[in-house]
Amino acid sequence: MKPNEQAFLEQVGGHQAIIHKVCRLYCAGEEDRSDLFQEILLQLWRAWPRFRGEAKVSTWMYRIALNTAISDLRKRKRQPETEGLPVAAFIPETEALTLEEQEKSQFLQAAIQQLSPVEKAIVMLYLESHSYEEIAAIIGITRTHVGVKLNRIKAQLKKIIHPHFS
Amino acid sequence: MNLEELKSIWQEVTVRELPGETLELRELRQMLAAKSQGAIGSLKRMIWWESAMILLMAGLILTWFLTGELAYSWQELAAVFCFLAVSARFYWVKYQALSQPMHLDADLKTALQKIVSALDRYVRFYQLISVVFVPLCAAGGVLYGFFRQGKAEALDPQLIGPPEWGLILLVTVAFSGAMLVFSRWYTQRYYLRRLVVLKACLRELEGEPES
Repeated sequence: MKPNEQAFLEQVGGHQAIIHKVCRLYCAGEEDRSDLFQEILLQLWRAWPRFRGEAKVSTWMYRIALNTAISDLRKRKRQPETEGLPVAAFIPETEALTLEEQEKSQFLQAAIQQLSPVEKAIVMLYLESHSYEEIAAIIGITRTHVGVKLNRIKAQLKKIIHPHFS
Repeated sequence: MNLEELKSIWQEVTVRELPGETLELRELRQMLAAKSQGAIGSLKRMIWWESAMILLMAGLILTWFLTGELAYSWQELAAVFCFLAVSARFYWVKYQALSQPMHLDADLKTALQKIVSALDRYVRFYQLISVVFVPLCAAGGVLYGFFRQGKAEALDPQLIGPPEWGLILLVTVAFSGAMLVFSRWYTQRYYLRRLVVLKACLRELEGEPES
C-alpha cells in the first residue's frame, strides 16, 4: 500500500462520521447511503493530493462530502418522501434515548428532510455547532447571508416541530 | 422546545448511533479500489467505449480495404475516415466537457457554479451535434447510396437528379426533427431535471440576503 494512501485512510477514517452524517441527511435508503458514502470517499481520495492543510481536515471533508451529495447526479433509488410517511421511517430507534427524546429526534429528522438541499447543509452544520464563519466558508456565502438563511430555517423548523411539542 | 434543545438532541443521537456505522480502514481501502459510480464517471466510461468502437470500426475498414475484401475507392475510404475523424473530435469535446475540474474541494457555491456551467455546456453541445451533425451524416449516407447504385467510379454530382436531392432533403429534415425530439427527451431524462435542481440550489446561494 502507498504511504500516501495510508495517511489518507487514517485521516479520513478518523473523521468518517462526517461522511455518515451527510449520507444520512441526503439518502433515506441503506443502499443509497452506501453508494453515496463510496462516492464521497472516492472524491476525497481524488482531492487528497491538493489538500495542503490550510483548512482543518474536517472542514475540507464537509466541503467535499456536501458538494458530492448535492451535485450527485444519480437518481436515488429511494428518495426521502416526507409527506404521508411516518417520521420513524427516517431514523432508527435509539434505545438509549428517552421516548420523548426519540420522538423529538424523529420529528427533527423528518422536518430537516423537508428543507432544500442547501438548507439541509446549512442546518446540519449549525446543529453540529459550527460557527457562522465556518458555515460561510463551507457554503461559500457571507456570514450575514448565513444568519439570514438560518433564521428562515429556524422559523421553518419551528413551524413543523412546535405544534407537536408545544 | 427551542432550537438549542434540538441541537443537543441531534448531537446526542449522532454520538450514540454513528459508532455502529464506523467502517474499518480495511473496508475503506476496498471502497477506494472501486470505480466511481457517479454520473460523470459513468458518462466518461461510456465515451471510452463508444470511442473504442469507432477505432475498431476504423481498423476493420482499413484491414478490409488493404486486403482487397472491400471494393472501396480511395475517395470513399477518405470519406469514411473523415467521418471517423469528426466522430473522434466529437467524443473528445464531450470528454473534455466532462473532465473540467469540478472543484469539489471548493465551497459549495463555487462547486455548483462549475458543475452547472460544465453540464450546461455539455447539454448544449450534445443537442447541437444531435440536431446538426447526425442528420448531415444521414443525408451523406443517402447521397453515398445513390453513388454506389450508379456504380460510379468517382463521386459525380451529375448522377443525382432533382428527385434524389428532394429525398436527401427530406431525410435531413426528418432526421433533424427526430433527433431534436430524441435529444430533448434524452437530455431531459439524464441531465436537465437534475440541472434544474442544481440551478435552484445555486440561485438560493447567489440570492442577496434580505435582512
